[in-house]
Amino acid sequence: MIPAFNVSNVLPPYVGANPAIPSFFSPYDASMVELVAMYATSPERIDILKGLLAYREKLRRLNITHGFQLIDGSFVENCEALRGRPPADVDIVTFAHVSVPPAQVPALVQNNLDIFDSAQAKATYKCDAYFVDLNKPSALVVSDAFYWFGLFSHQRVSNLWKGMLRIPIMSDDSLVSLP
Amino acid sequence: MMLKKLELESLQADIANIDRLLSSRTQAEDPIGFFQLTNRLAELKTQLEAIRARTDKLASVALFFGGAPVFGSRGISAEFAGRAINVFQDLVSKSFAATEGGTLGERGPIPLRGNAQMMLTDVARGSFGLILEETDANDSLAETALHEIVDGVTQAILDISAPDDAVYEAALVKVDSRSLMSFRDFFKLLDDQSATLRLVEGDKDTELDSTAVHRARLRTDFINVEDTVSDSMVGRLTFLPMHRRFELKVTGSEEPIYGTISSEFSRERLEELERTPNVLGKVWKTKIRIRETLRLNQPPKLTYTLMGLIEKVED
Repeated sequence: MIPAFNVSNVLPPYVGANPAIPSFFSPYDASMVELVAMYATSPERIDILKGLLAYREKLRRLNITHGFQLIDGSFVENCEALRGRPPADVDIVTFAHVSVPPAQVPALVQNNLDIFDSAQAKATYKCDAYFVDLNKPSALVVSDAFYWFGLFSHQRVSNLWKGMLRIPIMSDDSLVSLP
Repeated sequence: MMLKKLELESLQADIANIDRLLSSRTQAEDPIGFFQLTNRLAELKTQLEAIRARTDKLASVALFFGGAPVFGSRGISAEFAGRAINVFQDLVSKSFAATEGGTLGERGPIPLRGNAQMMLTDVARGSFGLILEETDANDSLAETALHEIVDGVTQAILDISAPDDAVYEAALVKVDSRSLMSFRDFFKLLDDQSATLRLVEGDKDTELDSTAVHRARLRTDFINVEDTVSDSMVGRLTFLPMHRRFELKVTGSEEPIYGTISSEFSRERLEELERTPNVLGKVWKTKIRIRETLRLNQPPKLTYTLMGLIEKVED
């Protein structure tokens, strides 16, 4: 379920009268079909969604299937109203298990910089993308989760509290239809 | 447009966070994280330098209020916030009118008011911050006049509340009498409501605690200035362009008068006058603003501002 933007033109940090109900609290669980239905509202946004679908497809081809993505940034804000322009990209952080042994991870990274180098991911897929390997020591996973969640849940400067989305890597991508 | 200082703060916090994350792991135990965080750190540092190098052309200021009118990061008294914005805008409008339009009359409509309007564009949470910005449909190539005025107003707020009396006295000379009333209203509002202020504008980031607010209130409460302009002061003139100071040995008087040179004289014009033969050291009929500052329990103080050179007088 993806809530509508609130009066601040961002995803609300929670919805409903009772923020203690898990489904009403950010991050909001969603599918790719829901994401597309909500945000494929302009050619620029459709381009970004196509990039995101391609990025996710690449992850699955690398056998990275157990995990989820946090979706945030201007793509899930009313950027058009807030800044007078469409978003340039979508911010994502993938939390997933890589499919190779630890010794092969450096090679996996170097051979797939379009996935693991955020500058290249942005250029290739319009995704400002980061990756948290769930195979690494749990203390590091927790630290990284704190960092990304803290960064994504507040706007810079204004410190506005806002929500984000969570989509599993294995979702209904094949059912998405884009022009 | 975000306030440069606040953007820098936010980025610096992010950079510090990433530094900490990087120091907690090795490349061997987290090759992906190490690689990405290293790149992100470099990117943020590049952004930081770009923001540092940026010159904001439009006026912007953040007023963070604390104390009694603020309820944690939840909210601020609507009445207080409304009045604070109103008084601050009034300060800006009067300063703009006095600087851009010449001396401001003691009463009546404020000229050029429309040109001095700022917009409330955002709030900053933490303590409660109101962000006021100038909006301009066209990209300005240079700092706008309003940018300069807001810079002056915020500096005056800091100087009037400064612990050093000399800093306050120097600020007082530059403030026109009608703007002084608005400064008085501003500090009275803060003091009456037990509010504190953090003011962020340009490179300035200063906190006025309750002591500073009260000090400024006392200074502006019991002060009255009366300005008159004389077109007939004649005397031998010297000045220091770099310091914008002048001295006039008034004909028929033993004591010279001295003071500041009005901002209506550009620095280039002053330097030109200094170089021109038969200007300095000669007798001139001048236009001088005489300010009489009346303070409680203190004798009146006269300060002078050179407004113009009318004509040279034969020795």
